Amino acid sequence: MQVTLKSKNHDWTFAAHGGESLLQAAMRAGLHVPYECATGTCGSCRVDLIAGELQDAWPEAPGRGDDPNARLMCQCKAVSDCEISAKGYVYSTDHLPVAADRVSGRITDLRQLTPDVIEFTVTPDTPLRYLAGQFVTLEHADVKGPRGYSMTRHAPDGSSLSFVIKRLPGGGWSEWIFAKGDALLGSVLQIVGPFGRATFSPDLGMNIACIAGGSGVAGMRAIIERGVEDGYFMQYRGALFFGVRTPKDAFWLEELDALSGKGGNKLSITIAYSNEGVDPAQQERFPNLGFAEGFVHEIAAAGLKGRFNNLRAYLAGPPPAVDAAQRMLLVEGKMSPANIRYDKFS
Amino acid sequence: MKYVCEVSEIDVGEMKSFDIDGTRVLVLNADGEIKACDGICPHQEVLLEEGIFDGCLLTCHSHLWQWNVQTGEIEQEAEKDLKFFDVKVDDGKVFVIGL
Ligand SMILES: Cc1cc2nc3c(=O)[nH]c(=O)nc-3n(C[C@H](O)[C@H](O)[C@H](O)COP(=O)(O)OP(=O)(O)OC[C@H]3O[C@@H](n4cnc5c(N)ncnc54)[C@H](O)[C@@H]3O)c2cc1C
Ligand code: FES
Ligand code: FES
Repeated sequence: MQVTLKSKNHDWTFAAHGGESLLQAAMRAGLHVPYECATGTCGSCRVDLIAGELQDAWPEAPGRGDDPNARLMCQCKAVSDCEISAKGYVYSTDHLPVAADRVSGRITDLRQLTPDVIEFTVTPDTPLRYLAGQFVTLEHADVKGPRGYSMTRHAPDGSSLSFVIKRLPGGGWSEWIFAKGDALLGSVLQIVGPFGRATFSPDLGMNIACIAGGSGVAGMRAIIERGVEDGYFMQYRGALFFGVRTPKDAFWLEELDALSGKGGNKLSITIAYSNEGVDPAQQERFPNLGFAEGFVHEIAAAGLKGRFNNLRAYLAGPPPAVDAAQRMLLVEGKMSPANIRYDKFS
Repeated sequence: MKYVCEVSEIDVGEMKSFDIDGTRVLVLNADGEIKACDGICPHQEVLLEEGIFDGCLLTCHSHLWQWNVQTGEIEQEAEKDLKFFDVKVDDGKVFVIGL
């Protein structure tokens, strides 16, 4: 099927297969279309349907809004040739486009890290390559609709995908995974991706700061690992600020301590506790980590003071945490939005 | 011309939004100069009052579209203009023209 996408600057035509969303099809064609969540919530990928027929996976999706002509590129598949229009500008890329594929995979490892965080690994049937900081959407027959999860490791061959999931009371996916636990080992999932533009590659040539609320640390670990692998933090400053409520909510301290030790002088990793003081035993046990009491955006503001120049910031986590960090970077750091990459976990 | 608020209600570098006959109007104090614009982001229906204003640049917190309040122009990322209104200040009162 042929899709014509009208945008403010140019009209594009690309092919869409029956099995893929318009978002996937546009990305495969190398178009830089707007999107954020890939799961129907944020509304960034909204277009108007002008002609043709689409199949909408989730017509009630919150991102769609009230306009009867509005459709979400991440939720719709082409059923016939069609014409859609985007409100903004759409450009094509000369970089090799990384197409978002659909593959199946099995849960091969699962362990509980804290009372409300589980880490799990999915082995895809065919490798799924991705960039540090990206996410995929996961689907299982038991739960309605896909959800986005960020890959936690830098794994260039894409042969295994690791995630962390935070329990959301009443949440469809997270409560399901917490309820089933180890019984899910071997379960088959559908994976679509990779998605996401909060990516890091060492040719960036800038200092980087990662500010994570809770499970937002997922993609940040991959980013820091990617930098450490190349010795990036011998030349550029890297700072990871990881905020959780109390010392009991922190995870990966051992792994982050090792990463910090290996990363070189210019890499710093700080754990921020918003609801409790620092635990001296942790500080002693993990000498390569910093610990502080306060909201993660406040701790990051103090740590980055005077260092906002030539900085690329990565933010992820619950929307209020990301909003607070954005505000801090814009107001105190006077940073340009172009250097703030974020994933709101909504 | 519609009365919106008193100049004294909005400190330098601050902003506040008002509902004027069903229209959200955002009034900003840019270095002592009073400016007024649409209170709703032209991207998605988000209140700009919840965004970030540094005295010159106004940023929507949702996807970081940014406008320069001094010039009324797009600064960064924004794909659409923000509608600015003409403002008249008289005896400490802020009036907006063309609502
Ligand atoms: C880019 C991105 C990366 C993320 N990375 C992580 C991560 O690494 N770790 C983590 O814990 N969380 C992550 N999240 C959040 C995650 O996707 C879930 O929102 C969260 O786990 C709660 O899911 P839930 O099913 O428990 O809650 P629910 O409240 O049941 O669902 C949450 C969201 O799922 C979507 N949804 C609900 N029903 C349907 C349906 N029928 N069809 C389609 N979609 C539906 C909606 O968008 C809803 O807001 C990320 C989110 C995004 C956008
Ligand atoms: S609604 Fe499609 S990308 Fe968020
Ligand atoms: S809603 Fe304001 S920038 Fe998207």
